[in-house]
Amino acid sequence: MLLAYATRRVLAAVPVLLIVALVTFLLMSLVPGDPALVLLGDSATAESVARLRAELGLDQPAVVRFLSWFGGVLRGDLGQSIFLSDPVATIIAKRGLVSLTLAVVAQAVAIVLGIALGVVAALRRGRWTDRLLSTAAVAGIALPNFVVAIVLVAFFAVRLRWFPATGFVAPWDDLGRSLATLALPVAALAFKQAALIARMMRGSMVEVLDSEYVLAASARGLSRVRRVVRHALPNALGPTVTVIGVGFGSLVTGTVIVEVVFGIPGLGQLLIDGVRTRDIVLLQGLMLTITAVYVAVTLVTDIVQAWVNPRVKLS
Amino acid sequence: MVVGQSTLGQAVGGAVAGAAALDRTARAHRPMTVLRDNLRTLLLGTPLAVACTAVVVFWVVVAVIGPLVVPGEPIVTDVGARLSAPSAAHWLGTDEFGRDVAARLVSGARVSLTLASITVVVCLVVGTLLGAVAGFNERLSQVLMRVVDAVMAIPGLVLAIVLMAVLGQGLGTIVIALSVVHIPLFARVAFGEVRALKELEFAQAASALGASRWRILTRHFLPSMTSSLTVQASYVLSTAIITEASLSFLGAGVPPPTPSWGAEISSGKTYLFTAPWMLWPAVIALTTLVLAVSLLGDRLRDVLDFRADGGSL
Repeated sequence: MLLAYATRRVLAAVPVLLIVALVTFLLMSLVPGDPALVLLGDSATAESVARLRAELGLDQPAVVRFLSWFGGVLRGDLGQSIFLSDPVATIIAKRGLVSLTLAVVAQAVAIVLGIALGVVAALRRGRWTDRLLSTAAVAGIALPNFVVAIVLVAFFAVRLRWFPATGFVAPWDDLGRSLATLALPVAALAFKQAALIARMMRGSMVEVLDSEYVLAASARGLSRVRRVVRHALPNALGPTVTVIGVGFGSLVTGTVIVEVVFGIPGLGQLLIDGVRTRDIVLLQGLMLTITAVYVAVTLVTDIVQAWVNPRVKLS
Repeated sequence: MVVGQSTLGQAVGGAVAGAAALDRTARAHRPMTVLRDNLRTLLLGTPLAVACTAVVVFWVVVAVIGPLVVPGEPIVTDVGARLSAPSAAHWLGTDEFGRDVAARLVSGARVSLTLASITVVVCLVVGTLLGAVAGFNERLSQVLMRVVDAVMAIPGLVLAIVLMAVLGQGLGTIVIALSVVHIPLFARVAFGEVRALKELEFAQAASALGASRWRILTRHFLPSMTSSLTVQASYVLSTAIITEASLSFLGAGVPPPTPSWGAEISSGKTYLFTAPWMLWPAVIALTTLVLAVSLLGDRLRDVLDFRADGGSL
């Protein structure tokens, strides 16, 4: 049953990705400027430009170009970057690892924090803890990432000097310094994600705590802890899983901004640089990769949701 | 803000499952008069609502008359007076080019609010039309909604950045980029509503009486759709303000030297130590406006009964 649902979802995702590839390619073909001309710069003559265009495959008709690019994509080859010396797939893999580290750590922190705070707010609903947390959640969701990032930098990096303001050290290189450089970017990202999760968690927890089976558990004499953890929490987690998936979109957006603010060499920086240099091949691969990851995450979330809550499968 | 999970959540879920995800039975929606009656409660009901309304009104007023009131020029540079602290001549000091920060702040208000408002209107009109067309036409909807799903699958800021690269920087292109990012949401909502509404008897009766689809849409469907469309509009308004600020912050938004809060925050960040008056006014401005709009949007959803997460605010 679950397998059938999962298969259905995966199959439905394929046309979406195909259209995204098409849209991406179409957009990129509209970018003004001739990369061959830019690459050759001052030494460009009519023949050398024509030769470079033939070399880069830019003189083929659009359909041919799309098919050869897409064929490459299916084989895992995203083409050769016009301005950087490596193949796009390699660049994305390297930078992607950095972004992935940042995003995964931030999301993990956010999930733990969000669920915990959401439960606390639900348990203390109506009282000042709840109000405080709910206000913080609203702020977290509404505020733009870069504002939160800058405030964090101004306070913790510049004034208190606890953490560095820029830079990135991978955890597998030097765990201690990595944690220091990651602290602020992760905080900036996790703030919004945790707020989303906490708000959803609080909402569904409140609903679950009011339900009859929790009341029955209480009547049977189960302790508060047992009631909350064993009976209420698992049922309240359902909608929260959806929020984690939905929040991934804003996580991607947030990562782009946070990477620029903190000077982290990830996919976000790559995107901005690619836009500046008009590196079409890079941007194509980047946009497709980012979207594919987003679709995959949403897919996984949906399937987990169906696994946790069998009613979803049947709708 | 993550608007009514019922729409965004389903929409994203639908991003991989196609149009079928929004299949639900039609219900009679409260017509727009409910909003009109509740406008006072909406805007002034609680102390928080009053504060938010006050903030929004404040910034609208600033955007409209600010440039006339504040002495100083937002664009004219004065290298001799660069990075000077707040004074009588320059209420909030000057930036690295000697431009008056206060003047840039109020001009930035005008830019942000105008761009966001126009984006919302464009998205509303185009998105609703698109969704309605798809709603009436089964076969067209297959193709159209798949394209909508695909565009929604691309994370918003990424799409906006790439669009700005394709279209080039400019105020008009920002509106286009922001609209393209947000139209799919309106299209999905309109599509779901029209598809559900056209099965109801009053629609079939109108059709039997010879009403054209356009007439059915405008006279009969739109009044029922206004509440969900208004909720989406409030969501898009706050998102548009944030996305425009983010784009300008990254340097891909409003073209310099036109002022924008995002751009001011970006340049102010560099002079955090030496000229804090460059950064903080813009930060406070953006924060207060965005929070106020978001909170009012939440309240709107409460009033129109759209919340699915049971938040306390």
